[in-house]
Amino acid sequence: MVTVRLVGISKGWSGVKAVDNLSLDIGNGDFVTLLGPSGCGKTTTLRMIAGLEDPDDGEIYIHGKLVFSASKGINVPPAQRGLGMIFQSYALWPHMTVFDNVAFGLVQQKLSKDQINQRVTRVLADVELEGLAHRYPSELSGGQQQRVAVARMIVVSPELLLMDEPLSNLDTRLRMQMRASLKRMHQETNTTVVYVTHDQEEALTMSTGIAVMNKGKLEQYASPEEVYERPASKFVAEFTGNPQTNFIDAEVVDGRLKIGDRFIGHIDGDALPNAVTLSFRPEAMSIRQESTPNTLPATVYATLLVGASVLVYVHIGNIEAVIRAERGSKFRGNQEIWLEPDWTQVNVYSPTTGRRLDYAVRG
Amino acid sequence: MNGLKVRFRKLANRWRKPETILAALFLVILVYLVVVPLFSLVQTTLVWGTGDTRIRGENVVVGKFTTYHWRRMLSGDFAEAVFYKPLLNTLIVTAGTVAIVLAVGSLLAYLVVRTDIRWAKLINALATVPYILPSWVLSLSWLQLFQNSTVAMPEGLLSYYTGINAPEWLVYGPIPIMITMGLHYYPFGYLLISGALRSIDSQLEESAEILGASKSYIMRRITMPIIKPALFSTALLGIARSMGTFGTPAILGLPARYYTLSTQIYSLVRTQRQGQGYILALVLLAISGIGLYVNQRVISARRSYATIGGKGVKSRKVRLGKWNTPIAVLTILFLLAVAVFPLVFLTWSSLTLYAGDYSISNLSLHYWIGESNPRFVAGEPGILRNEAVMGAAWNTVKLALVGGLICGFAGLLIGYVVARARRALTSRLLEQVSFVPMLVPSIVFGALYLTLFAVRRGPVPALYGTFALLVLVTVAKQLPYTVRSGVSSMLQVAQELEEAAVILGASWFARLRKIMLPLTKNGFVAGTVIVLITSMRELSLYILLVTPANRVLTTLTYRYIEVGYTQFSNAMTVLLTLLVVVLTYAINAWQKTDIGAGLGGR
Repeated sequence: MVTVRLVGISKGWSGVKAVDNLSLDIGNGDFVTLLGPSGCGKTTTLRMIAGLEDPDDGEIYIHGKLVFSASKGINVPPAQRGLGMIFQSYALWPHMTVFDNVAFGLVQQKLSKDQINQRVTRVLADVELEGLAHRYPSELSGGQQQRVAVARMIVVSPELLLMDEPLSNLDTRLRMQMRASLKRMHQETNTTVVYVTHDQEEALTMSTGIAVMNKGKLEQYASPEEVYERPASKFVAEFTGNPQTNFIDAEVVDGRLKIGDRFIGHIDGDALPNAVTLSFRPEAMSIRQESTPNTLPATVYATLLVGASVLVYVHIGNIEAVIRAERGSKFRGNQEIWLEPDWTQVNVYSPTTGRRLDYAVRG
Repeated sequence: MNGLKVRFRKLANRWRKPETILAALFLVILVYLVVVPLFSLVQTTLVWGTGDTRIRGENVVVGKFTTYHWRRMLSGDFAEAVFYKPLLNTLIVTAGTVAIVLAVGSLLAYLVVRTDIRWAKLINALATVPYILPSWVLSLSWLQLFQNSTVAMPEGLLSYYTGINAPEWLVYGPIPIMITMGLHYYPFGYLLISGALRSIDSQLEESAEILGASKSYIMRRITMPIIKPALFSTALLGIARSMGTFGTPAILGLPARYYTLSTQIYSLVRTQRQGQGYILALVLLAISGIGLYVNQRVISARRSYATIGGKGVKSRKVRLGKWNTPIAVLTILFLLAVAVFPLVFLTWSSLTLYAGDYSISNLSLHYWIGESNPRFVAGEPGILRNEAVMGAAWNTVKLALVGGLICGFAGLLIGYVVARARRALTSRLLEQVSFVPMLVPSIVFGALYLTLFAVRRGPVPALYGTFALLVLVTVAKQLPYTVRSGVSSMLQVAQELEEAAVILGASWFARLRKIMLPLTKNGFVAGTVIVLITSMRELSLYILLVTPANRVLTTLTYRYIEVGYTQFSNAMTVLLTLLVVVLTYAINAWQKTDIGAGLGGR
């Protein structure tokens, strides 16, 4: 069952395409994240689903109902699309109390005072804000404000909830807590969520599906595991890297991979290209103290301790790369080391198009 | 075919949005209130008017095209007397006024913002007082101080107490006009310049200091360039305002036959020679236009300066040391002389039965509460029991409140439209057009409305002589101020605040009422108060438009000044000032108490 269906939607301003012919299906009960750098069109897409922005082209269906069509001239107002939206700034009305903020949507629906009271009280309890109903937004902490914003939208029980970077204004610790509580809310209410973020970690931790966008186009739409393990393009691999993804160009000689003047590993498949780009996550390489077959020589540039592990910045020839090593590993600057890839975690890309190539690699 | 249909639907979708409809509506209204009058003004200078039938030797057909007015105004003795001479006078007076505004404004701003001067708060408060006084308070009190028998007037205070008779050039003419206008208009210079000075992060100057620059070098190369836009705006506003001011040059110029463009326009229009008077109005407009153009050129290239500093600006104060107290005392005395003493003089004068006699025995409340007595001011009863005066006072208050509210509301709505669709052509046009009245000198604006609403045009009835016309001219003329505050307060309300309400199903009116208006109330009140103050003490704008039926205090006061009822008109001026002060104070007090807790913003 599909909740949101985007068919070829485009939107541009003065010649620049913010969203370019985007098609996407979001299933019932999914938590789908639109992930991408700023300016990739993710927020515009979300706002078009909400009806706050009109596409130049394409069609939008929500719950099977056509809510926007450029060619048929259909444009259903936001309020009749049966959705809620949580804004990056929370957009709480500063002149209204928490209660009035949350009750706003119910007042618009002209519910009775008793009903409003009941539902607001219940939803405030759900987000653990009971007792704060008569505070003003400016008297709340960031996390509390965020929960008011959530309460204000879920109180009208929308079947679709749109969130525009709702956690980006919170500090790290609070952000983690709120991730957990949003995820739990999603499980409990079984609402479909479309979530916009530029934080790959947030996307990976929370979503059932990730749509990676770049320059208005969809780069990859898949499960978090798939996006992380098999990025469809160099862009996706790069953007989901933590702290970065390493790319190394290799020549293909008789089914073997050649980096610099060193042969390393094999590549299988028909019609092999002459050159490929290999991607390694920092954890996809192990550091060896001496040269063995299938290893790459490198020199240590710097070592950073990041809590559970150590990040070793190395130079492979003139390429900079990051390797994640066990905590306690000690390296000197300029020390000679050898890197051994974990071939199951290596992806192959076309150096020209940047798309993933479906060749198997092995040691 | 299909493409056309889609385009039409898109257009229809756009027209569903209230901001589009509002923008179009306001554009139509503004074009009628601002652009049409300009055309009508030009037209009047090119046709025969009803007052021209007396002219001999010309084939006068009322309403037919003629170049007579232009010919007459551009060359010959008449042009010399009513155009070139007043133009030169205007330029001289304006230059002097602007110089005083800049000098006093920047000096005060510097003292308050950049030095550790004592009693800075008091000085700051006093410095803005002249703004709320009617512009001619200073000129009337100037006369009260300096007039004497050499100019065939009753003795002023100076002459009465010291026996010194001031020469005529000190009593009437360009010198006193410049001084009194400059001292009336300096507050906005002070406000603009001190705002600019406050925004300078002193780190900018300290960096230069560390690099070894001298104080004067820093002033020249760093401080001055940064506040340059403010100085230019001050000069431009000063030019536009002082050129269009009527009261001061009328009171201090006309008795000595010293005409400026504004008083010349008045006298031409009053003698039914609109065709010629409006040519002068066009000249005033042209000068303002040039000023605007220059200002745009200078400021737009420097716009990036506007955001310097912003937050957490540190300002190191210059130490005045042992000169602190003397400078502070001098400054306060000066401000009292400009803001408070004039009112004292006028009040004193209004309490003297016979003009020029300041002895205790001559004190009387006759001009305030006296019964009609044919020996004084042709039997006019004291102002507080005078029906004409009370009627005009009521009109003034009514006009200020109605005009202020309409103007404030319109400014807010235009601000909404502009803020919602910054990119749209309509909003840019709307913003531009709504700013035009700022540059049209008041007396010209009055003239415009006189031609526009003298007769019925299409669905718009002849409004001349009605209260509605005064409201209309007030709203149109003051709109730039409320639009400015409307735009800035609407811009402060994040669009998301409204969108959240859209998602939750609130209609446009519900959003306006529950979200946008409550959040922009401060801007609304501020804009309204400015209009209120300005329109209550405005003379130049209304002087051509009033009839006995719709007089306001300012125009009635001027009528009494014209016929020489000195004490009587002084009493009225004091009354007007009191009304302005009380009303402003009341609104401020009410507004402050009314703003609920939690409006501090997120």
